Amino acid sequence: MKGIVFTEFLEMVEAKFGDEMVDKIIDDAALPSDGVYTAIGTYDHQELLSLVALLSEYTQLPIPQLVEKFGHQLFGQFLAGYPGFFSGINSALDFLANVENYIHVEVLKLYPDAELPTFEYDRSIPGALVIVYRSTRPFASLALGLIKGCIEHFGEEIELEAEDLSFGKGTAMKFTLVKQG
Amino acid sequence: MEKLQQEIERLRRRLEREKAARKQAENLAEEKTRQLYKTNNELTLLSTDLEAAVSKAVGVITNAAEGVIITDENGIITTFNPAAEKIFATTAAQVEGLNISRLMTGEDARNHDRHIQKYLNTGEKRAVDQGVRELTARRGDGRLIPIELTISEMHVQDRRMFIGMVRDITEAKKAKEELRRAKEQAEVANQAKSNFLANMSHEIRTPMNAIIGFTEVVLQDRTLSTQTVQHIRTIHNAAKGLLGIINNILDVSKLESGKFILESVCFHLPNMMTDTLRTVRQQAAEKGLVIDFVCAANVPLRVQGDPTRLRQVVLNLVGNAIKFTEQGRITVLADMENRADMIHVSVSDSGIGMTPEQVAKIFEPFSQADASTIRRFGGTGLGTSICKQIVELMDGNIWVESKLGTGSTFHFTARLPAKQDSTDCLYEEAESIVEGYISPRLFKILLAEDVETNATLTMLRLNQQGHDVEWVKDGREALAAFQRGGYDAILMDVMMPNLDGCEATRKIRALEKETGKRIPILALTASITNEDHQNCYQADMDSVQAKPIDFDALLAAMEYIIPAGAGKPNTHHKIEIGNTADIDFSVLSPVADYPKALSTWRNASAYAKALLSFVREHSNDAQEIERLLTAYPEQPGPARTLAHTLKGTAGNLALQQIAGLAAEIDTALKISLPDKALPLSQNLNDSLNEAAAAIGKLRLPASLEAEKTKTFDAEAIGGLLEQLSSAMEELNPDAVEPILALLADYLSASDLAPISKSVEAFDFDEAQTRTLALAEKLDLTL
Repeated sequence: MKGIVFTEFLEMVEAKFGDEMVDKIIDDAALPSDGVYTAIGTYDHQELLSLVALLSEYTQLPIPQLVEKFGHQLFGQFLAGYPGFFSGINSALDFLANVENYIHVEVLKLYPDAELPTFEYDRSIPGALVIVYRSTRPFASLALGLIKGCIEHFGEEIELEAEDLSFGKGTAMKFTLVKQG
Repeated sequence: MEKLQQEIERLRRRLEREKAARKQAENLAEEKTRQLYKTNNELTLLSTDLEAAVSKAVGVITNAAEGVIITDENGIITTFNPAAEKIFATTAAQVEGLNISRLMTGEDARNHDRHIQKYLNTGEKRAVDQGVRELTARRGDGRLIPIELTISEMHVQDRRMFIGMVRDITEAKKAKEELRRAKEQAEVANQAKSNFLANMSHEIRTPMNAIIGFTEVVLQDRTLSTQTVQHIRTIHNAAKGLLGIINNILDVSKLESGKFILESVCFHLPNMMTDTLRTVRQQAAEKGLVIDFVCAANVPLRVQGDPTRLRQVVLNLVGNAIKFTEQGRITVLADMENRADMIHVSVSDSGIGMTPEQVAKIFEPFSQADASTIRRFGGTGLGTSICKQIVELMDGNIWVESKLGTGSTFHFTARLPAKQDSTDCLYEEAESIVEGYISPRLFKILLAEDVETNATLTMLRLNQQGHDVEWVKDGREALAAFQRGGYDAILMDVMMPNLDGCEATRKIRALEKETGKRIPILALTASITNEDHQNCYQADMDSVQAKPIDFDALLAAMEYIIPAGAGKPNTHHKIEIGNTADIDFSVLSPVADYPKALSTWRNASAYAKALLSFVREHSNDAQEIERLLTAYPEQPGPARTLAHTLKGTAGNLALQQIAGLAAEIDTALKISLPDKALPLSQNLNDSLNEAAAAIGKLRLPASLEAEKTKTFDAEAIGGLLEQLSSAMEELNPDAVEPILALLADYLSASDLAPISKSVEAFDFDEAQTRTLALAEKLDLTL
């Protein structure tokens, strides 16, 4: 998993729960990387799962909720860090429909070793977009947070429905977005 | 304090983590930098290769001898090489960015756009990858030039492009045009040559015919010395050889100028082959050679084709075989090819043969075995080449197998479809087509013959030759005519009323004793017995011809017995075949051998007319014979005369059964056996009725039909003759003519001709006499 996810995650923990919490989950998780992350490095995604699990434990908040919150915030970082991906795009549906065939393609050019989830699309109904998220890792909630962040960014009124396709494992989820009005 | 201590400891660990992270980031950055450096090096190398490749490609395009024009898929020019600049007299800068169609003429441009558009839409290739096309290009200076264009397609970074290779073919076209013109000129010249040859050959043939004809005439002169005859024979042979060569040249020029056209008629193939070979049999026999003809059983008898040209091929091959063979046999074989309608003929000889080199050239025009062959054997070397072209016109082939010193076998094939129907088939009776005899001299002949049909036939055939014939009807008239004089010879029927042929001859010879002259007299007799012929010679006739008359023999005999100096030269050289009216005689087949009769008469109308008058005049002959024999059993003479006349007349008309029965009655009565003759007359009557019925079925042209409808009407004729007789007493030809015209409906021209001749000469006494004689002949009392 790319280092930017870890650094952004720790930024979020620091912002929401204070730097003590950051040190606490890093210390208690006994991570192979000792909690040393750079945005451009690559680290085992299990470390993130460990950190999230400890955060949940210490904050008494459910993991999916934490991950979704993180996704929401991560979108804001992407927007600030990669404005090129957003130029000329005015709607959430258009942007999201581009992720698999444009953004992921560009990501792989920069980081050939990146392990990315896949998105399948159905745009056959006008004003609606169906996205099916599939990953080897249980980050469907992260995707949900990212999608929510995206909708918020474009300021549109969109009804979003998420349906787990992986019996609670978080590795596959169907998102249905319907533009209102 | 402890809390502060803990906080410092926490911050210290955090600082360490940040340091470690920075170190990690620096390592990663350094590694990325190294990678970038390496990648940059690789890119530099790649770009050098690419540059080299590009400049090579550009170099090829720039230096190409052909014009190279590259366009995008809309036809916009993106590349225009120097060769193209030269061809189109324009610069790349002037045309790049413009549509390629501006380099073409209007129609080409429209087609081009349409083809490209169609290709882009449907993939149907009309211009792209379709090889070389010829177009007209518009140059920068406005000149239009012919070009060759090849269009191919390439894809560069997902973009379609078209590459046009252009070649200026102005010079090539000019050269081609010059070549075509030169070829045309050569063909015209060759055609002119062929026409000239054809005309010249024709011009030469005309005097050649005179040379040959007159040497033949001269050769008839029995007063010539042996030496002179020898010289003239040499001239004759040389002229004939020369004519053969000219005919060959004429054929070659006809073949070359495409004027050689085959005719398509039905002919009897084996008969035609036999007849052809008969003409060279003598020539072969003179060299001691034998010609065998073998015709395979599967060869159809009657075929459709050109017998004259087939004969020419066979004669040429057999002629060569005779020429090149010193001893042995020549075998001609006809059989069928495996293919339908293909006849195969081979001519094998045991002659000198040919080398493979000679074989290879034998069918080429103007080629002979070698120069020495020409010296030894002569000839133009055109014969086999003509044969080749003729058989090829007949869809066939010609080839030769030969071994030097052993002999040659020439083969040819020809498409000759079998015909079932035998009507109108040539060579149906081999005799019928033998080239007729041509009289070298023309004579004034007196013909004494009592039977009209016989006289008509004789006059017809003699007139065809150009002889002038005067006809009288018995010995008495013949004697009178002889005394008037002016004849070169007399053709004398033997059995005639009033004065028979032998008696008339004796009287003529007696008269001649005073003048010392001697007119040749030729007997015509229906009798074939030696005794009768001897009687003629004893009466001092010069020759005897049996009836039915073989006219070739008669003409030859006339030429033989009439001394030199008589008659005038025959300049016609051709027998007038006269009227060949399209009459279907097949209804006669049960009663008459009409093909034979037609070959004798050579005139369908005349034959038909003769048949009609036969019915008119002889239908009652059998009854009359019976009546005479019953009434005068002791005097068979008159009955025999009737039978004898009938025999001759029926024979000329090829009414075989009637002629046969009449001959039997004639013979029976000659040896006085009327009992035997009587039952025969019954059969004869049946045959006459049968013949009359068959002849009545003939469908005739209107002119002859009239003759048929007006049957003999004694009352009407008697009345007209009476009118005629009284008109003559008025000595008025104008009154006589209409009556003669009316009589012509009932009576034959030969009956009326003597009368109208006398009227024309204002000899009304003679005309009156003849009128009365006619009435008497017709058994009418005026």
